[in-house]
Amino acid sequence: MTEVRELLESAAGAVPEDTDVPLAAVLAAGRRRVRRRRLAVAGTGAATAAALLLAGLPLDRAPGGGPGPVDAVRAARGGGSGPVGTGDTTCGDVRFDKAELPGRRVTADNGDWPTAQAADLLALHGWPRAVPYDAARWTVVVNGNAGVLVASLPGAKPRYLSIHRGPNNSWIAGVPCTPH
Amino acid sequence: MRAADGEVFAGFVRARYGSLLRYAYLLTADRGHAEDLVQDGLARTYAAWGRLVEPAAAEAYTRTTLVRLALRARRRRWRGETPTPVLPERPGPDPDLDLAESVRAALATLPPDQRAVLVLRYYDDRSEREIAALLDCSPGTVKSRAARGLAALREAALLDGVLEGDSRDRGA
Repeated sequence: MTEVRELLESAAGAVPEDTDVPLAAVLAAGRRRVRRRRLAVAGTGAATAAALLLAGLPLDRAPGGGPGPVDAVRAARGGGSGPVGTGDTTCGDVRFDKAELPGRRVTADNGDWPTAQAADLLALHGWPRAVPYDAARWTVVVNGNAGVLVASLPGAKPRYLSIHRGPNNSWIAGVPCTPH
Repeated sequence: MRAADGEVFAGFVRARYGSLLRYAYLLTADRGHAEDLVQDGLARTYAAWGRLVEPAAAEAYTRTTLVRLALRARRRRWRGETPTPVLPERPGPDPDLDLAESVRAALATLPPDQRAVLVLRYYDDRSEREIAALLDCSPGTVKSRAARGLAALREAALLDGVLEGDSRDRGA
């Protein structure tokens, strides 16, 4: 297939090496995109916060020691502080009960959920849209200090990512996986 | 984005813009569309810069984004223009330019998904499995799109005998 590559390189060679780089335009476009996404996330976050408040769930750990996002999810399931379910399914090194899927709804700013980082990882592993965290529906199943983040978009198969609790009650994205 | 990250990103753009533009040119077979595509792709990379797991993966991330944007753009707004096999007049013969323009024209006649498969498989050296994951289709679909794309290049008298060679490779 060397010949095919050479043909493609010859076509690509029509674009000169010393093409002017429109750096200012690229940076401006990048900043616009960041601003738009922040606005979109803020809107989604506000809607989710309203929904959670209506449901009586705390959004974050209160200064006096109230429950954090993980505890909120557990509380919503009616569970205690132990592992989730019977652990009949694994995603990476995380065990959980398949019946818990798709889990509880989360968004990028109702806690320290690594949805944005997860979206980048998933994008590199075949997610059909680039950087979709503001478009995907994110849910989570938690099992102690580990869990599974689930990203769903209409018309596409759900994508799964193992997560682990990091310092300061944050969450760190693990490996993409297929529960089995 | 922090100032230090901004400098690193600017350095990345300066260093890789030409390569990305060539890549986008193959995906679109049109210089203007390619420039729009690269700017859009780099804007997304800018937005994701702080969250990229490894900065070294920025080019791969951007290329992947370019492929997706190229396929989405075709569905959204580029239907108003129809590729044509008729080449524009040029001032004089230049064998290299003739070949480059012939390949570009042949690529322009392909549907974007076939063009993307050719670029990913033979220019980007990605495996069929990787391409299938990226395009959210089966490896069999990747093979058939690649075969149809190669057939188009052969029809344009650009690839004499290559398909037979490819068949032998698969049979081995």
